[in-house]
Amino acid sequence: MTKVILLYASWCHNCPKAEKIWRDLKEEHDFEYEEIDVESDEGQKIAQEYSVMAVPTTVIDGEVAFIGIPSKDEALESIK
Amino acid sequence: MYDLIILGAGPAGVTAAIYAVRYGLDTLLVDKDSMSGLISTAKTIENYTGFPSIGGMELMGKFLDHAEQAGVTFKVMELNSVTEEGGHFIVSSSEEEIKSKSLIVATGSSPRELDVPGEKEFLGRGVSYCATCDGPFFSGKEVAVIGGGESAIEDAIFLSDIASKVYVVHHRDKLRASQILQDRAFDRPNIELVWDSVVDAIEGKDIVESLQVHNVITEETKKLPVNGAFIHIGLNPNTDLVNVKKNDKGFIITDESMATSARGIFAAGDCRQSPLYQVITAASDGAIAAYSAFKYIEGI
Repeated sequence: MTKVILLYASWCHNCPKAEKIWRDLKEEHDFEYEEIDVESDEGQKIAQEYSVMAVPTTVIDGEVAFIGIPSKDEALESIK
Repeated sequence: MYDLIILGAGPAGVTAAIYAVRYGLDTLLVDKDSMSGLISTAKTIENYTGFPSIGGMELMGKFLDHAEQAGVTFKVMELNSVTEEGGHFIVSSSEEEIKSKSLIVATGSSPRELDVPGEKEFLGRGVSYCATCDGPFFSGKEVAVIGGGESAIEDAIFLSDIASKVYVVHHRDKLRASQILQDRAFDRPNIELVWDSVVDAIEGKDIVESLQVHNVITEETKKLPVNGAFIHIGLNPNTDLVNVKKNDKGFIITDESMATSARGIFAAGDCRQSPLYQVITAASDGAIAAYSAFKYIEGI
């Protein structure tokens, strides 16, 4: 099953927009979805692993798929 | 069929919607995001009358609250096309089509890219168009801001509290930013202006490690040892969907009533050709566009 991780930060005003897109898709489609704060230990680890220096960043199946807010259509396409 | 569909829910579109509802127009406001507007990415706004200092997102939230209280119908919808058929307009997404008698285009603009090697490759790995979003990743590091306008200098000041050093690379020998921001920037010991210079390349291995810049007067080249490149060199209008007269940069040309070259289509805010791009001018455009749409609907 496709695994989507959304990296977000408390200071990031664009992150709630990305969260809404993924949460809405999650209601309609079957995929694993997790939101991780980059300031948490786990978030720091993932950010380092993928050289993430921007939020929101979406990692899908172990690869950075989107930096910034994907459109709903782009997000849907990426989990098909 | 709606009297009016407003494309874009930034300051121009939301203001237009509030005015249109008050004029009694059956109005729909659409945007791909529930919180839109480039202004929502600004850390602080200090030049919107009545608000000496307010966060961009907070101000945008107040606009949307106001619209809701005024009875505006807002729909989140990602548009694919805007067409005209038999004297009315059809606004389409992948899921539905909505019709109206008139349109206000308030689709705003997006940050312009530098178009240099490394810019796309390092997006999110040092290249950014939003300091308030990505600045905290650069704590204690050296960064550069490219540009000399209001947004560039605001971001340089914001970053100077986080980064150890902020270079401002500007292609001229004067900044375009307001004097008050220039004074604040010049007061910061860790902001260094790199005058008359342009960026030729953004370089690094996994993340940004340096900028290659050259002085346009002396032709001297140098490397700036930075991990971040924050780009603020202007705006590109989001106007591809509408077929109206535009200038050579794609900004919609309107008359003083915000009417475009197409009957029944009006434009407002950052997507139209204007001498000034500010929240307050966008809101003003929106009010005028709504009035003009109202007069247009009355006359049909």
